[in-house]
Amino acid sequence: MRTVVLQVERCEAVLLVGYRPGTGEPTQSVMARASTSFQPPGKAKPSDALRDVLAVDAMAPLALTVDGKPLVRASVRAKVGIEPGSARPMVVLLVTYALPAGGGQLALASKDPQFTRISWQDEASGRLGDDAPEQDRWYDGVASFLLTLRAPGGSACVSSQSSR
Amino acid sequence: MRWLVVAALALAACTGDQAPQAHAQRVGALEETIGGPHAIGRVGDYLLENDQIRLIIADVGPGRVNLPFGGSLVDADLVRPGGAGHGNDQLAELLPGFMFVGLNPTSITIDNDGTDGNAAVVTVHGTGNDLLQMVGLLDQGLVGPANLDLEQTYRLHPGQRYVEIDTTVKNTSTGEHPFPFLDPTQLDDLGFAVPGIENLQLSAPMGQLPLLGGEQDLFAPGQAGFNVHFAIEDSYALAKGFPAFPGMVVDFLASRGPGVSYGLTVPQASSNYVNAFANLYANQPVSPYSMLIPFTYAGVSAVFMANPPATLGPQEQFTFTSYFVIGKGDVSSVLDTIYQIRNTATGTFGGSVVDAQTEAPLAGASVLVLDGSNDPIDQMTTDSGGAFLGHLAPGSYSYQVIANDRLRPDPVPFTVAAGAQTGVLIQVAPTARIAVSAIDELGRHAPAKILLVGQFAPQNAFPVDPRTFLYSLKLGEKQRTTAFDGTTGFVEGAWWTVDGRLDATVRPGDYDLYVSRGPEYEVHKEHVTIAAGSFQARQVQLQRAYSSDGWVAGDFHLHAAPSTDSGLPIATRVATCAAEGLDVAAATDHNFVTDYAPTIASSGLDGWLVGIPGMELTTFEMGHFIGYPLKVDPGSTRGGEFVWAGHPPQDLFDQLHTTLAGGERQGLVTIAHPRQAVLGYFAQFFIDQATAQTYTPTGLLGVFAPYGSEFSASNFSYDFDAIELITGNHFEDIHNFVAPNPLPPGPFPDPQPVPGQVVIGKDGRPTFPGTVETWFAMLDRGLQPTGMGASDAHHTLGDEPGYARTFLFVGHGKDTPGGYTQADVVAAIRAHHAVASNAPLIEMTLGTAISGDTIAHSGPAAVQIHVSAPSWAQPDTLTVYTNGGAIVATIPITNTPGAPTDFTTTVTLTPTTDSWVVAEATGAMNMFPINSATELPPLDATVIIQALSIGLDLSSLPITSNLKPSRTHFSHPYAITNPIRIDVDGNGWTPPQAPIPMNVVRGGKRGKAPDVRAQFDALPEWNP
Repeated sequence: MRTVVLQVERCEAVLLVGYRPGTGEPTQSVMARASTSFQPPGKAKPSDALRDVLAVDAMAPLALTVDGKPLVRASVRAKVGIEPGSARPMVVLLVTYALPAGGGQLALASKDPQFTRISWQDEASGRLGDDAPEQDRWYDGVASFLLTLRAPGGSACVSSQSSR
Repeated sequence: MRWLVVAALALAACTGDQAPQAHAQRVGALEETIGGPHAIGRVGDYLLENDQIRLIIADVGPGRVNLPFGGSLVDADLVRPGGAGHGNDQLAELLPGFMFVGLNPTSITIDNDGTDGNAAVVTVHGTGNDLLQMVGLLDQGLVGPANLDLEQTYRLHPGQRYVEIDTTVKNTSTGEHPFPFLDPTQLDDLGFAVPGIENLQLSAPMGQLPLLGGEQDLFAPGQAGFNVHFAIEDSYALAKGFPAFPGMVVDFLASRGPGVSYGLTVPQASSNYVNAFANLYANQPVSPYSMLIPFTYAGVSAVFMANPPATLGPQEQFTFTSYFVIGKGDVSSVLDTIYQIRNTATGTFGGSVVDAQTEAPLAGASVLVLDGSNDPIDQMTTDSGGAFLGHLAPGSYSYQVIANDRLRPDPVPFTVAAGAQTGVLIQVAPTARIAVSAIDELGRHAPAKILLVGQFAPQNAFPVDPRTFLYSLKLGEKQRTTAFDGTTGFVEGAWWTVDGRLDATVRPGDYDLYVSRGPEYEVHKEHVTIAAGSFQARQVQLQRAYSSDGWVAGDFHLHAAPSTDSGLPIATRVATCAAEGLDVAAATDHNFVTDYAPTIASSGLDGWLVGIPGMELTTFEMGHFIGYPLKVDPGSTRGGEFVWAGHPPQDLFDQLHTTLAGGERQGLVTIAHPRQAVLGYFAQFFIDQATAQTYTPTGLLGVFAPYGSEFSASNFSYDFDAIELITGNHFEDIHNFVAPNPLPPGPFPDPQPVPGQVVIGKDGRPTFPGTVETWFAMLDRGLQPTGMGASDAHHTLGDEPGYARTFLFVGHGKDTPGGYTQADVVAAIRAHHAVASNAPLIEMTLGTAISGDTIAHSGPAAVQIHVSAPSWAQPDTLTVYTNGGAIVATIPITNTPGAPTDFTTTVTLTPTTDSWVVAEATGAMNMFPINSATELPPLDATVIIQALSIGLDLSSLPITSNLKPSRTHFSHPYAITNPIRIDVDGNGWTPPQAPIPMNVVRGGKRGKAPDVRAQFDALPEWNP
């Protein structure tokens, strides 16, 4: 199960992706539990391969576009761990994208809609039209999620650095 | 008789005069679809047809049959006279399986519509998703579906009775994609923390998942024959370990069914899965066409045929081919086509089957063709003239004719030469004939069940397996149920009549004739000897066992032909219900809204039986949910439209309560078999039997827990009206499992079991929690789902309707034909005026209150309890429970042997707080032959998991433990009332425990979500 929160900011779009092959819960719930009891697994060292595998799987069906043009990832951060009380791994990704200066239709698409839940929130971006669907609620089974993007006002945006 | 043989051969040589053609199109009108018992094709689907066969591929979207995804092959039949819509589709569905990854379709294309004279071609495009979330980690580790595109192309050539299927896996990533996707160590890292996994070399088998429908008997040539289910389980003992998955190796898979049959085979290919690991399957016959059947479960068979390359490079793809064949109803018509596909030289084998005494031709007889080991390799069904014909590869064989009302003859050898005809005239032993006319105590020709019970030799008594001497499932003979208790009785024949009249042919012999009409009647029994060719007639009057004024008996969980795993005609279903003394029958087919009312009327049963339309909303791993009364939507090919895959329980309940019921909360929702593994709602949501609330599973249970958000604990909904306390003969699910005394041979996982005590797991909870204990916990917390009994009957003998059943109080004097209505029945369930039972009736009262009522009462409460039962189902113990499941009294029930139970007692409680009281009656006597034993273990997901566990240590998983409830046993009397709630202080009934917090707030307002960057940063870095 994959849970995706799209946060729209003035200069960037940020995806918070929770993915666990083992169990699926809303990302906020995962976050809350993980932040209090994130436990290392019984292994001596975390597996980079595991993180890469999970990260790739988490992002594989997702595409963020503006007017059909894919946005380029500006940064990707990933954290993996084992769900407390179970043996299931999970990965949480924070992926940022630079938003284009102009307006357009911002689309978050999933090739795996049946197992993807999408939510969105506006972080004082001032860039979204009034026709946006209700924010801070989960939308299940949607193949694409559309928001109308407006040009930002004020000073120019600066791209963020890529990191892990 | 020689002319009969010649005529049969000549008829078989005739062919149609239509020019070969093939055609593909989108279905534009329902009239273009196929029709038949399981036809669900509809507008928007895709039709593939030629001059021989017709196929429907479902459009994209949620699955409409048993599995979560659309895009599957859902209908298949021969071309029939009368054209479109007049078909005989019995296929449930067929779809590709990549381990347990299914094809979730994104689009379907018509690649060639056939107008060019070539094959018509349709392709289903999609991605891979878990069919069974419980094994999602295995899918991830073996297949890694996230970077794969999947396709299934159906290619139908003109003039052929098969469709060629190309299944393609494409790596869409920029890196290499190995198979298995992860090595075992990574699988362990991924969370598949199964002891021993790191030492395994695995494989990623791929193939097809056919659900051939309940009418179809599966057949595999060789050791299995028609005994596919048990032969697969037997094959597990032959497994030599991974990377070869355990299972049965077959040359082809076929079926037998009324008027249509199906088959599956593959071409020779370097990617053949079995041949890739031939050394590990060396103790099974391996051919270039071998396929592996690792399991068949809930009507779904896995047929693995392809072993993908070790690695797919970027954008590389892998394709394997299979053929889905449609036959005329027997195996032979399928095998004929398979020979044609393989270009095998053949000769013909045909002839006629006649009665040795009368020389009358035998229609519908089964002619088995056996190999040198006397294992069946082909089967032909005789036509109305007793004739049969099929093709065989050159060789020496023998034949054996199987007819259930005749003694089985010995095999007779014959040979077949290429291009030559072999004809035989087969004379089979004569039958005997019996006629019975039964009336009830009022002289009415009431519905009744008639049984002939024989005796086998004492040396074959239990525990000797009756399949080894009494009947052969391999040869396709019917099961003859036995007493299963060390005695020697077996049921030779069983008939459920609508009017107590029977005229039937039977296998000659000495029998006891039983006539019954459910638990409210005594059984009539007398001895009859019926010689070959002779006739016996009997007149019988039934007597009531007990009066049940005001109570009607209903079975609210019944299956018939619309269910993909039943195949029983609806007319037979309603006859069985009436003959078992049921007054109410709710139709609850899997994902199909059925109404018995028209068939009840046409069967002349209007006065005896009230039908309630309904459905069992069947998810793959969330549980089964029964809804009734529902409205049949005549515009839907499955009686109504609904969704389940990916939806939380509340969505399912809302559909059953309202959408499908035709009005706001007009329908009732019952939780079916809540504690059955995989199929039960409480089991899948991990409901603690002590608190009736969810808990988080740990260890291996957590590994095999479904992961979808719909399964999150917060999505568990209590918005149901009833639960099944007893389902069929699943006595093992009623109460918490208690360790037997003495214990079976160990070792056992800690904590060590104590004989006679509830078996507890590491988490302190009962390892096999009971439904009744869970229900008691709900009663303690103020919930009051009505406790029900139901049969979940899919067939007839061995799976009888009405055992269990629910007695409902509809009002004094109303339990007469025409005296009660569907509304009375629904009202009784809503009022909890119900007793779950498989025979005894418990009438419990406190003052004016009956079971299900709440009554204001202070001081000592004298609860009156009256137990009634027929002499063939006498309970011997009465147990009375109250708050917390505490036992108030355990009272022996006094009985007179051979007489009905008529027992009355008073149990006095002095509750100091508001309380509930429930009465339960149990007995040890065997209800055979009226209610059959469970002799053969029911097939469930346990089998799949066990099959996959060879080489792994799953001993901590309850279902694989060697300390678990026996699932084979004879049937014994059981009944339990709904509670009387005693309001001690007169200020309304207050539950003894705090109510369960209902944590699902639909549409509730939430505060603003925190910044996602802050959420991510708040996660601690993982620094081992």
